[in-house]
Amino acid sequence: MRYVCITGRWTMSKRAGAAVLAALLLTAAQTSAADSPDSGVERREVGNLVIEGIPEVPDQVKARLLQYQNTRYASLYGWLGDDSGLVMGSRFGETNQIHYLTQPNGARHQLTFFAEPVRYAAASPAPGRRELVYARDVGGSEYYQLFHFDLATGRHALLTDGASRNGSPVWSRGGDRLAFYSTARNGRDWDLYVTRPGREWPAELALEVEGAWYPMEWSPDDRRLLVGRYVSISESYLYVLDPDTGELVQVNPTPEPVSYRSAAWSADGRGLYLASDEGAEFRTLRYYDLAEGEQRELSADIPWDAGGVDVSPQGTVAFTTNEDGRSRLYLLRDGVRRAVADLPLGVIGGMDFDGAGERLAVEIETPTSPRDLYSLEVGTGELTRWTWSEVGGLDTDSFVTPALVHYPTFDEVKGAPRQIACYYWKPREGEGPFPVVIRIHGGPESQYKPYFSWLNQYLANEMGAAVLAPNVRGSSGYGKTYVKLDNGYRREDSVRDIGALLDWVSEQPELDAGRVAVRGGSYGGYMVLAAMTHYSDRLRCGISSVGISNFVTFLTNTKEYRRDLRRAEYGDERDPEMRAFLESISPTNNAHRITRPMFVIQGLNDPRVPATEAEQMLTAMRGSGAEVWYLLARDEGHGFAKKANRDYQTSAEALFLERHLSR
Amino acid sequence: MTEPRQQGSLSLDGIPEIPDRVGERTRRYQNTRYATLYGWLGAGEELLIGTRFGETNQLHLVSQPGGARRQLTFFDGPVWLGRANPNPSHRDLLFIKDEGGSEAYQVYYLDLDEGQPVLMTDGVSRNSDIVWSNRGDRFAHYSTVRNGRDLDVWVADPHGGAAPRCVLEAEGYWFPVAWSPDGQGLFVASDQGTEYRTLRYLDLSTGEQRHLTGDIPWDVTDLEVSPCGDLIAAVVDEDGASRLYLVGPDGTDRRRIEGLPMGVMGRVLFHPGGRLLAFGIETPRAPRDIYVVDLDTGEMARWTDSEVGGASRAAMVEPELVHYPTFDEVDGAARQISCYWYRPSATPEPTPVVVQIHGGPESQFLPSFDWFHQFLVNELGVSVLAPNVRGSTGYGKAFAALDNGLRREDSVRDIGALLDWVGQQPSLDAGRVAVMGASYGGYMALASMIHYGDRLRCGLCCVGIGNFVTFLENTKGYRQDLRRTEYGDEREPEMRAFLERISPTARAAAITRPMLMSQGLNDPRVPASEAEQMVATMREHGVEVWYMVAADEGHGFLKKANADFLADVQVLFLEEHLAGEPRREAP
Repeated sequence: MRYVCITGRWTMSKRAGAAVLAALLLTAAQTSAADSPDSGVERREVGNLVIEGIPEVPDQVKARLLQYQNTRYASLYGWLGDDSGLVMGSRFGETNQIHYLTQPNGARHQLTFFAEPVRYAAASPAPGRRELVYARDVGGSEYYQLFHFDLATGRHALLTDGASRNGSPVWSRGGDRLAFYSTARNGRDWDLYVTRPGREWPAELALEVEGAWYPMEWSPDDRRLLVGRYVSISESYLYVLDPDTGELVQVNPTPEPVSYRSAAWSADGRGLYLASDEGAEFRTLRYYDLAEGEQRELSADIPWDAGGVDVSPQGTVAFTTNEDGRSRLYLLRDGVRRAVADLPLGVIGGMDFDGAGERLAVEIETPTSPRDLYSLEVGTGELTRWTWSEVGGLDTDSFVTPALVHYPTFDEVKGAPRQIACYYWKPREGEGPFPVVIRIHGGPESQYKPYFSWLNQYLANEMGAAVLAPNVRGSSGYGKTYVKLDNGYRREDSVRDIGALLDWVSEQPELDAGRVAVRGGSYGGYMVLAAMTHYSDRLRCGISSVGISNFVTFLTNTKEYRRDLRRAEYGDERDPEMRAFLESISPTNNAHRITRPMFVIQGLNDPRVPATEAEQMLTAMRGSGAEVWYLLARDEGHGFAKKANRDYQTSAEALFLERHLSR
Repeated sequence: MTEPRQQGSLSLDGIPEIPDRVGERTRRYQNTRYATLYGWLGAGEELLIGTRFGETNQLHLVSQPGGARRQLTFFDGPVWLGRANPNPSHRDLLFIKDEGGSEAYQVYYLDLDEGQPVLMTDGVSRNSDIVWSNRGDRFAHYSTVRNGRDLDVWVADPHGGAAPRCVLEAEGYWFPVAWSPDGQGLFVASDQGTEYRTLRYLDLSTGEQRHLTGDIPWDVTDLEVSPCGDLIAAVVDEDGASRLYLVGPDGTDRRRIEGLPMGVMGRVLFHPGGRLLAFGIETPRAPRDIYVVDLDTGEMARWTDSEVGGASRAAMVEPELVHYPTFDEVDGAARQISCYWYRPSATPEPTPVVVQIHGGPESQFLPSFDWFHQFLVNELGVSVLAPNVRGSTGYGKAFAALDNGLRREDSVRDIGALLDWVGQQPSLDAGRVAVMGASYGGYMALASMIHYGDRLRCGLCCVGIGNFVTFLENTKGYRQDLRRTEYGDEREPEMRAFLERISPTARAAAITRPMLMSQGLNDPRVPASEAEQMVATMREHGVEVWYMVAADEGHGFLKKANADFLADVQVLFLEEHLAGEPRREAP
């Protein structure tokens, strides 16, 4: 059972690997900020929000947004141990909390009621045990603590030290042990621990390590633990650990670095199903025999990355592939692989086989429908929908499905211009020319997929703006060469891909090249700032949320537990030549070239991109007289997770775009 | 003693710091949802309900037992009321909402196939009590639109046909109740000429009444007529718990629906087909939820299962209804007082006791859901006894009048009788009994502490009446005479002297055991100065008093944050003065 896909989003997903990846991508660090840089700009505070330069948001803007902002999502946390229902995450009020469902279209019965969001939960797989483990932090600090929750008694117990970063909780199949990682020892390294449900810290230290290690899955006999170690998007390792003796065996040692994404035990415990790019451009699914050390290809004929994998206790394997952002689901039974037909076209997230191996629960999200839960009858292929998440009472049939377009950029592949994949939401009403919002994803080792985005629907349906979401070089999903095309000294090549997109926009009669905005978060925030410095004359305005403004300060200030991992992507700032390069391309040193309005959004407790990144950028831009709107939330981190804060953020963004793009 | 301190709008005097562990335990019980029945939608495929997911009550649809509560409206402010169109061929509804707590309720129309709500009223006046016509082509409601004061009755067409018109212009408070199917007569619940309120048919042309439940010695609290008029559903309050009866229009074929959980029912609604009946019921173990009973098979299906925070549902306790004898006699035998008993299952006996006394006094303790009682039982191991002493409603007109005027303290003697009874129960610890109550129940708690101080460990009084004379003088004009019927006329010297004599303000010195007093600063009925005066008197006599005043509350604690904090203080107070040492948290 267990183990699935990795999403590029920074929400924690059910899989160890996803959580790890999420923690490492994007950016980080902590600040004492919140004291205003001496800007002379009026600063006002509303609850936890600090607001500068943002006019009052008119009621009519808020009223138009209200239904869109009331979008819910369902996240899969897995089957209850007795297969009696699904445990899931959703937001009824302010934050994501744990719920359970006992039937399709059944009540989402809420189990936790915290002011802070629950990031992840997993149900005990042991039959008859109604217990959960879940992760929760405070104010977006990402110092996740793990808790045990017993549904029978309603009691919660803290399992971790209350201070460090902890994650990837993995139940043993018998439900008597929990493995997880913790930075408790030195605040930097991710050691592996094993504890028992309800037992107070300290847990047993199972493996002391350097770097980012995390448990993935217990072996079918619960004696060994599959363990992952992440170095970069192109380099990761798998091990089998005996937590009782500390014996550690590397899986498939290779001379060249390999990237693994998902991995799961075979039902008999003799092998592993794993997604690996060893000797290939894309990650493919393979079966690896632990005794023989040999592997067998299972998806080599599919020229896309294999994503999540889950194995039922009876041996059925489910895995997904990522085909230009869209997911396909395959089942492997008795050596026969078949594609699951008739799934909604979209993105598949978490998957989990029930204990009987008869049903596979899956998260599916499409551009016109928020992430919801389904179950697939393994025998018949019948799909049953379990949740219908609300979109504020709106009729989702009127929503726009994006087209996938490709545009040429500056360099060539095999003698022809390289093509960049880009999703395009086109307004339903009117002929154009439409103003354009370019959305740039973070990562950068991530991908814009055809997710459900209420904001894109709002922009298209209510503001009449086209939305373009490119996967510029450095994105994942297009092979291991492509993902490295922006590394180190080639950082600004990815910015040139935005320039090429602007060229393409000017060639489309239905798009208004005179009214283009850029918007992005995290690393995408850097891309927005960089685009605004390079293409200020071709952009109307920009919105950067938790964006990197200077790679040197970023690498210096991001949390220690992720610093080395980010150097692999951006370069080592301790090397003088690299340092000079990073300084030269950093937006803070080019801020004078930003002449158009910017909106900067930041969470005070962000451990990845410290709030100082936003504040130094603000100071630099104001020095050159640009109009700047600034929003800081004191109770948020790397992105806003509380509904009231998000609602203010998005209504201010809508106002910003109305003022600077629509007119 | 702890120094007086200010915490937000709360002044805390004599109250220790509340340890985090208290709040951690109470929070699990406090996030409670309720489901309210608003109607069958269309041909009866779905139920329209109200519940609160975020901050406020909103409209939701449920399409099967245990089904998803799919949210329909997403306003910042609460939806107060919803009514589905009774015409089976329509999927539309009306609802009531105001802006920013203004209480200027407006009627909105929502066609589920259209999506956007349409305002039906003027946006300014106060409107409510919507009643759809049987055909679903128009609706009646009240409105203050004419002069901002009087409630007139209006009829409007939600589909944009005829303009709204005023059909009854009157002074005072008028409201529509129901449209006739044929106009021959009415079904009413009335106590005219009887001890209890019974179901009758009133013939409008002859004025004659036909009794349909005259032999049931309990009050009828709600009634509903089936779509084709062949059945009347009547809810009866039997010793606090609701019973559901079906009866033919002529009084024949009466039967009781069996298998209902013990609890308190809200609205009952016939399915358009007439063979299913939906109702809301709140039980001691669960907040108000919606059930549907099949009238042919008697089968009961639970449509909603509202959350009680993260607390364990299985641990919730159902009270036992007991009766204890008191000082006077009825028909030659000791009068029996009804009392609900919440009993811990996991606590070593004898358990300590909290006597919970309801306000009113013309009110009744009902076995509805109260998280605080469940908390006391499950977390503190305390038994809760909630008596309906003389003067309570639900036991006939004569019983309700037994505490009037000069007989006020007879009701306090019923508490004395309860303490006697506690002394005879091996499972209860007569040496560890507390009393608590709010408003009039606060008076009862104070009076009990005055009369039975030696048999009580401590008392908890929230906005309790300290002095009947000032209470009557502070009561608004339109209620004053009603209250004088209950308490006596304070303008009459003899009655005034009696009321002064029995008032707790005059006798606070007789209280010798610890008290928790909580008070709203803006209480128009019970001046905060009286509570303060009693606190001072008790402290002069060396009594430990915890005193809490909320600057932003009146006669009761209505703001959730204040009410939650008060509960934490009450828990700590009971831990220290009743339960002995706090129980350890489970490992």
